[in-house]
Amino acid sequence: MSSKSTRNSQQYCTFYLGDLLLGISVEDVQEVIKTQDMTPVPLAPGVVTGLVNLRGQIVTALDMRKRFQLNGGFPKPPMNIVISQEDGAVSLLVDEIGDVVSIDPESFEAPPETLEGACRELVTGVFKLEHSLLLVLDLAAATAVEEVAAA
Amino acid sequence: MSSGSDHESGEMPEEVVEFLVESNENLDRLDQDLMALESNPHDKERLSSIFRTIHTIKGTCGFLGYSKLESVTHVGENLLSKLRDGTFVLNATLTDALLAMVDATRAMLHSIESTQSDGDGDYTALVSLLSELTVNGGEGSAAEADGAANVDGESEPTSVLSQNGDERSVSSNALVFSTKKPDAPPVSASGPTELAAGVATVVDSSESGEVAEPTSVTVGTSSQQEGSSSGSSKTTAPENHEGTPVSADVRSVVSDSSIRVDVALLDRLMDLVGELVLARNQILQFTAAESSSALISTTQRLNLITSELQESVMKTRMQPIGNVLTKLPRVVRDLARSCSKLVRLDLEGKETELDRTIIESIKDPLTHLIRNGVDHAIETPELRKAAGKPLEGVIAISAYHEGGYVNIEIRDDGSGIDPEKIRAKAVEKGIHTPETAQKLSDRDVINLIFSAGFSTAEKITNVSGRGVGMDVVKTNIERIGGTIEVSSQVGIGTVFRIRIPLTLAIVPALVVTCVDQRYAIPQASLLELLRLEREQIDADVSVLDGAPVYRLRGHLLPLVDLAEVLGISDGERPWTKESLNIVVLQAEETQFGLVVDGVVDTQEIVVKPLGRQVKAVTTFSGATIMGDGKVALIVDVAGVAHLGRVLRTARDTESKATVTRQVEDLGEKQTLLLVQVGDSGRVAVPLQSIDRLEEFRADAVEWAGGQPVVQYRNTIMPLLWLSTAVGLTSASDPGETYQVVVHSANSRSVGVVVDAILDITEQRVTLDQYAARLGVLGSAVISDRVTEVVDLSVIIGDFLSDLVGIGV
Repeated sequence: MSSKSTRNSQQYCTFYLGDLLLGISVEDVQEVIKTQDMTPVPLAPGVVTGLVNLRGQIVTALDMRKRFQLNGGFPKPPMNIVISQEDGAVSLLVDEIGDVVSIDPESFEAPPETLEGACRELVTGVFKLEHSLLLVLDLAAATAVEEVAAA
Repeated sequence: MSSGSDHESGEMPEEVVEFLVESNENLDRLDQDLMALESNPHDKERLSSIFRTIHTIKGTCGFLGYSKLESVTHVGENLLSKLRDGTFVLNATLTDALLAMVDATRAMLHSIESTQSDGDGDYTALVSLLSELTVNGGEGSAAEADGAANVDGESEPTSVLSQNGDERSVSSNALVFSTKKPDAPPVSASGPTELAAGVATVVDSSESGEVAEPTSVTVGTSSQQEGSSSGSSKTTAPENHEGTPVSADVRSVVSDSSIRVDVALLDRLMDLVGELVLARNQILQFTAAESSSALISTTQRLNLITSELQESVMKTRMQPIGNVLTKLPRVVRDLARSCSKLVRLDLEGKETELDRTIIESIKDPLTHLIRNGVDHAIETPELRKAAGKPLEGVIAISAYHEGGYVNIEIRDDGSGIDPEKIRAKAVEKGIHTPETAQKLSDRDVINLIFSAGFSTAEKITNVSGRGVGMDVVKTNIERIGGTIEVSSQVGIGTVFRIRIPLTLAIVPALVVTCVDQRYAIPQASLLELLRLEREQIDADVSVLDGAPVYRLRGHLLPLVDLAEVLGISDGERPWTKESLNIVVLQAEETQFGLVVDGVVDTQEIVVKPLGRQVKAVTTFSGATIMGDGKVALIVDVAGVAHLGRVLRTARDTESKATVTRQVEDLGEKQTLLLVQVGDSGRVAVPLQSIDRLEEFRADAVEWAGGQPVVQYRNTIMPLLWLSTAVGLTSASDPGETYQVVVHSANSRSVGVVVDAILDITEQRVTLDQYAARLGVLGSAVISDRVTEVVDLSVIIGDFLSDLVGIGV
């Protein structure tokens, strides 16, 4: 993040999870797709919803509602934000996709001390937008779900 | 045996061809690297890479017997090592000298390619120049180098030579002279001529101005240089033109016939072809409903082309195993000589092809096995004579395909492995107690050579015997999904059998369904498919203490319900249904029946890795994309077997012998401690292996090295849970105190945590191989209940070997 904050304005792909407005730098986003056919993975961590075939690439879909420990399931079929990472692509399942916004890095702040729970570990900071706050998702933390649930 | 001594004989030996291809590529990179380094002399990484390249060439040509090439690269390497150590900083003078060395090397390689000798060019001047530079770092020479003419590694000889006669080269006459060798054969002459020209440039150069901007030192400078010396003598130039087929030609013909391709690119191609196959499948489905014959025939062509394309792309990844095997004769020869033994290596099946990634990973294990064979297995001629064997020992390697696998057999006619020696060693190393060692079958004993830290070489030689070999061999082979077995007869010889998959990318698999999902099971583990109807189920399937078994041709085959193992079962026992689909599988030495809902078909699947979020799930080894585009998981048979707590069945005679022996051993009255493991598991531990019974409060457990420990009699005692060790689930409520069975071995006590201590009983035990696995001898009926009998020393040995990393 630090290198990017030196630039004048950054573009963020925004999305919603319950009441939260979150953002990922557009550079990290490979594509956004609708709900796909998924193959569940028995014994995998609960956050793993399943595997998706994205043009021959096998993508692990992660339920961000579960990752953020939000109550309830997706209000409607979730959207996939496909993130390409070094060791394969993952797809973040989110409630809804927002706009791509350009943000002045000056408005960045560390996460407020009052932020608690899962959210605290999963965001790197906050952008103060005109009408709302945009939480910046910590991709590395959000996709680190390596513990085995049931073995 | 092809080595330096016989390269005059007609066909070029394979290792020479390989050496040429590799070296030519490396040299091209060297030119660039050296120039880049000149502009950034402190680029350590690049310097190391250059050093390595030259080092490799030097090493290999030493092996192959090209002494002249070796001497040139040797001094070059010395100079480079000074640079690498930071004694000197690269300057233009040094760069020139190094480039001259590269050119000389290239010329000699060319000569090797055409005449199989490194030519009769005279490189003493270059060698002495390089040696001199190694001492003074190029600082001492009066002139700063201009380096220009020869910086471009493939520059025209003329431009180089134009400086040759330059009046300024007073100090370097001696060097220049050596280049003129009119009677030299055309090819080899090209080397020295061009090269020494480079040398001359180095030494005579005086245009210090050029050094300032090393980056721009290329052609521009060169032409300037040429201009400035245009009037000077070019006596050697014409001769050179006749003599050399132009330096660009030095590029090897050998290396031009093949190119190197990044494996990642091949993988990508493979992926794309896989996609194409899917698209084709879909089109085939659509056109099946069409009546247009033109469309149908086009589709059929598409079908064929796609299949051929797929095959070809797969082939690009395949290499003959000979690529590895042909390196071995040399290893054997040298080793045999240094051990004063006579050993012949027979190779068979060199053309057997397998995936290059696999070839890479069997190289080291194979070499190690061969070295071991020569060093340990084959006896000295005297001993062989005494034993009535031919003086010359034979190691035979044969490779052949068998059902998606490649088998490699390494057979020697040496002394064989003496199980008694291994037993003694195992006791000495504390891996086994004398009692447990005696209980092991000879076959199990021999397999101990694959344990970590096990080496029976009586003395450590420089070849092998450091005890870090066979376990690494086994690990490496298992990592690529292979297996290794050893069998041996004292005095007759040893056979290692390695079985490795052809490719890791595409495997034939059986597609099954389980709770509405499809799963692929690699066919390599598949033994047979069974479908039982109700009456057969009633007749031949029985449930023993919750564990279902099927009577298959007189043997008990344990059954594992896939849905249950995967935790997706609806609770209904499949053997209560009207019919039962059983996939009989082999996992390591275990055979078991995997119960699935249905069997779809067999197909070739493209294996794709799982993301890291699901990698830790041991029941799946990967995923694949089915014809309809959906993802299916690939079952890891060993993982399922482990999770399904499957047992070893005694189908082959050898393990039957083991059973008999163990039954006999336990046939006498034994005192057993009965303990509870998990909520209902009953386990018996022979009392002789127990030192004390203790009870610890749960809060007395502390952690050290990531391991639960307790303080016990002024020492730290690590704890291990018997439930985990034998693959049972632990009790749902652990309680406030731990019941601990203390076992001491090698002055280290280990506490084995059990869920409850039930009883001590003395009785005759008839051991059944049922449920036998690592640390579990089998099952027996004790006090009217089925009880698993464990071997504590094995469990603890296993546990302690895992702890070695933290200094226990």
